[in-house]
Amino acid sequence: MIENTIVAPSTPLGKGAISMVRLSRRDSLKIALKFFKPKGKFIPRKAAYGKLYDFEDNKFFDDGIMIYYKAPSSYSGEDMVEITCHGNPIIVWRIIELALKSGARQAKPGEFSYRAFLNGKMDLPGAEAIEDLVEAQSYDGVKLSFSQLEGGLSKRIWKLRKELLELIIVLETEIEFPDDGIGIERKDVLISLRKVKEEIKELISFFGSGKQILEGIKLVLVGKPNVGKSSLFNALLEEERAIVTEFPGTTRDFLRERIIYRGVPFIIIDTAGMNPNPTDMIEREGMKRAEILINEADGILFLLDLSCQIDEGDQKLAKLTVNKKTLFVLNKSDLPEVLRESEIKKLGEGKRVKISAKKKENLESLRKEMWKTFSKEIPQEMVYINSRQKANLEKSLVSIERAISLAESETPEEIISEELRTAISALEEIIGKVKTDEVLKGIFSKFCIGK
Amino acid sequence: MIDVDVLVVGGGHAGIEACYASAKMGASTMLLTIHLDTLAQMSCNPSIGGTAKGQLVREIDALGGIMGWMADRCGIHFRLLNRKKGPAVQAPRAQEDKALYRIEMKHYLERVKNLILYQGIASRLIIKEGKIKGVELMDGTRIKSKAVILTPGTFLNGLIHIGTINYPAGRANEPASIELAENLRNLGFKMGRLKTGTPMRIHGDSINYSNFQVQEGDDEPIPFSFRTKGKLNNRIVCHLGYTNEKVHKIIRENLHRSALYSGRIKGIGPRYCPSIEDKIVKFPHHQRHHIFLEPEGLDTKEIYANGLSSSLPYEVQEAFMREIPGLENAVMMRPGYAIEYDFVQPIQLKKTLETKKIENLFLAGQINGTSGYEEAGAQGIIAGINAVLKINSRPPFVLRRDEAYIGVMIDDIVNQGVDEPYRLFTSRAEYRLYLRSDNADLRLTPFGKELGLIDEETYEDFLRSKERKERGRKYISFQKKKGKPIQSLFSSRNIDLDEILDLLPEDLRPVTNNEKMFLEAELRYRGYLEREKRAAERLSKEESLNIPEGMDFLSIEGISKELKEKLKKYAPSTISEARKISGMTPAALSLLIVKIKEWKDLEKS
Repeated sequence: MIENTIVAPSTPLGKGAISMVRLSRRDSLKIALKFFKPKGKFIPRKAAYGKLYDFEDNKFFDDGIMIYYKAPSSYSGEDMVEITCHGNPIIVWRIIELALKSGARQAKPGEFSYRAFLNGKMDLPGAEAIEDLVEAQSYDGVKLSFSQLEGGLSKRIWKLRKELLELIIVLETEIEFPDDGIGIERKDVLISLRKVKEEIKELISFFGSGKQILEGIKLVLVGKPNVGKSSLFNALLEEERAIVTEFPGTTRDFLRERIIYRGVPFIIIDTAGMNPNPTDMIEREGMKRAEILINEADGILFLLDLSCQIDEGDQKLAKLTVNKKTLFVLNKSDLPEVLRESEIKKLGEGKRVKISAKKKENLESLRKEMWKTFSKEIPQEMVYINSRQKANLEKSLVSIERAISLAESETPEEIISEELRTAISALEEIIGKVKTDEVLKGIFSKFCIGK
Repeated sequence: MIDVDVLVVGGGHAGIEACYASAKMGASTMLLTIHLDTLAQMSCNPSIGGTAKGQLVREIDALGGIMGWMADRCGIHFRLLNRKKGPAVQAPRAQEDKALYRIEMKHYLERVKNLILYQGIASRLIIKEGKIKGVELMDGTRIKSKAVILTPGTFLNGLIHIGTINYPAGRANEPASIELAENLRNLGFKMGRLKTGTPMRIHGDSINYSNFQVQEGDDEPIPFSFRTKGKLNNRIVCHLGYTNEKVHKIIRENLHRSALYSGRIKGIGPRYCPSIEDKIVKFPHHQRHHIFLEPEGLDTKEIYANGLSSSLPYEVQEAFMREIPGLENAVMMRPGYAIEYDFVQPIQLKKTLETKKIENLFLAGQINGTSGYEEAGAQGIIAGINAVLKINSRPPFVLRRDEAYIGVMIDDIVNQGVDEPYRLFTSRAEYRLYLRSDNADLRLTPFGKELGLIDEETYEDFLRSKERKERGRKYISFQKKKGKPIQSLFSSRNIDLDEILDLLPEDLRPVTNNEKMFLEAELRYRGYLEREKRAAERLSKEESLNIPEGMDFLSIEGISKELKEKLKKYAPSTISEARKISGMTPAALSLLIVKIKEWKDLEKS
């Protein structure tokens, strides 16, 4: 059995000016030349113009550009060919079919990156960052994933690994050469361990903010019926229409839309049927869902009606949002103002913005205030941590913490060393140094074909 | 013409275990040695055991070998190293009476059934159609044998260096085995050159011991052997002292006269056992280095100056020795020297220690690039066992990394090869908390019995001890005190071992120190032992992973071309077989595993 060359479209299947198809592995060029006829001779890494030829009916069906990358100087580290054709899904489909008929096989999800990883072209966090780079919802997200691709996280992990390795080396020396009396001080071991612990904790803390930067800050609109939630929701979106993206998976229970302000993505969630005093089963169910959404949110836009007093309903809702960062949005500024400042204070901490959703007044101040309240400054040292990496960091942290308490209680070196070995192997799984193939499978099946 | 089943060439620590195991298993065996009076000679330090090495000796003993038993008999100073650490890294070590060890060993071997001791120098292997048939001696004698085990140690093309002088020898003033080395090279074995060294010996009466610290043996010496009964006695003390700046200055000024630093030595020396000139060059900021003064025996005045290994000329050795407080008037009896010798790159071996190239030819000890009496002995017993199994067409005996330090060592050298003299360390073992000296019998004695190396009486003892260990452990695991499990009280240091042992019913109380250590270890490491066991199981599952027939090894990217070719040539059918291919790296193996799984998925779809 010969290992097949893989083929996949690299651009979305849709109409556009151009589309691209990629091939990788040994026979890429041989296969490509069966249906791509370059004009004149071509050289690796140089664009070659040519025509696409259908060897089944001996007719040309498009023209385009082909670039051949010779291994190992390619994305995947193998022989690769990229063919750019006109952006019609039918052309792309035919190219793929001709490649398959010539002996290639369809690439599995993420397989190009998987090959790149296996061939040492990138490490695991790098490979994972490619997906994030493509999926990032903000410019900051793009920059963050790119720094990841360049080894942002890996560098930190290698550093931690080195620190732990140095500790293990000291402990092991003490074990192997007891007569040489190198005499390590427990307090020095503890200092290093605590340092490592703090570093791991910091990395773990990036998990939440990284997610926000890449996916957006989740804000739930909270308010009793008729306070103007839907109007505000629509008002925020209407002005932003050009950059609002359709959100898949919107259900009848709530509406979610994404807006971007000063490069920061916000996901605004409008819970349908939020009623602090539910009257029927459907409303009770709606409140339950709302509670869940509030818990998962990064912040709350708490809507109040400027034209009336705070009532029991507002207070009930305030209880749900008590632990969340809140921005009070005082709606209906076009009507006579009845609500008193001191009343709002009772509902909780948070800045206030007066608006009129109906008249679309002061929306810019609201957005500015949202940005000020909820968006976080990206720390200089920030790296993005995905949930797989977080799980391994936590595993490592558990061992480090155990090692610390063992070291404090004068436990013999070999047990501390055992914990450190576990901590190291958890870190190694992050960078993929120890290749556990279940991990790989999980990671690479998340990829889209041909990225 | 002499005709035997198994011929062992070399009467050192590897050769002895090899010939003993072979004879004990019923094969007619001959041990060939250059000089019968130096059988079992300890060429370097007068001690056996130490970290990892002590565990190895226990393993040899648990399998039915001799080293541990003999070391107990001839030991004159016993210490358990790492007493302050846990049982997994505690290791017995003993100073030996070298002459006694030699004499007792010869006496013992002379009485082993099926074993002939013979003096002679092997010069050539007799090989027919890729299979060993015997050995020709320098005097032309031919010894016919079904299997040959080579254990030549530093004698293999040995070259001694003292200062600018060098001469061929296996040990000081003993002839080297030069023709055999040439023969091996001509047979196409990939060989290399290693270096080791030994320090000066000093006349004990010329030492002023008041300048040294006394190092006593343990109050209650712990034996190596599970078979040793009765109390062991410390008969001597060792002494600890230090070098100083004056010593270092003399060495620095004479470095150009050192065989090592003048470039005369090409072989690679062990990093963990450097010569004094090495220590001074590599650690220039250290103001002093340890010296241990270790008596070579009871009937001799010779003192081994541990820490002063050197290849400097005699007069320089004498000059720096005299700068050491207490050695101002010391009389040197033998100078230290360095020795270079040939080794066969061990990736050319199977895990049974049989060469891949020549059937029924086995290698053990320093010829495989290892160093140490214990490492040699452990390989000796494995080679001896497998030689007998092989000529009787029985399945091989291979220990895994999770079964024994012996398995770790052989797996390491056979898979990764050797680029400096290989020494075992506890940290080489992934399952260190399990591979302990206190459970070596549980791990290995059943194998020894099955192979015919353990006699009835020893086995009965083992079964009784096993029962106490296992039932004792179980009993403790169910015990509570003040409503809390003993296990957690022990971990939180709220109860000590003696209190726990008092809880045991009379018939489960530990009889030996070993049994006590076992219970302590099982308490201390419990959670970790379970983790290690799971990891080992995962590994063995991977090991038995089948490689699909017709798999295209050449297409596995990320593996070197050379390895791909080898995979294609040997066409292994399991991961475990692929692992045995010389030059196979862990990285290449994990690529192969990924590939197999990918392949299987493809075939399914």
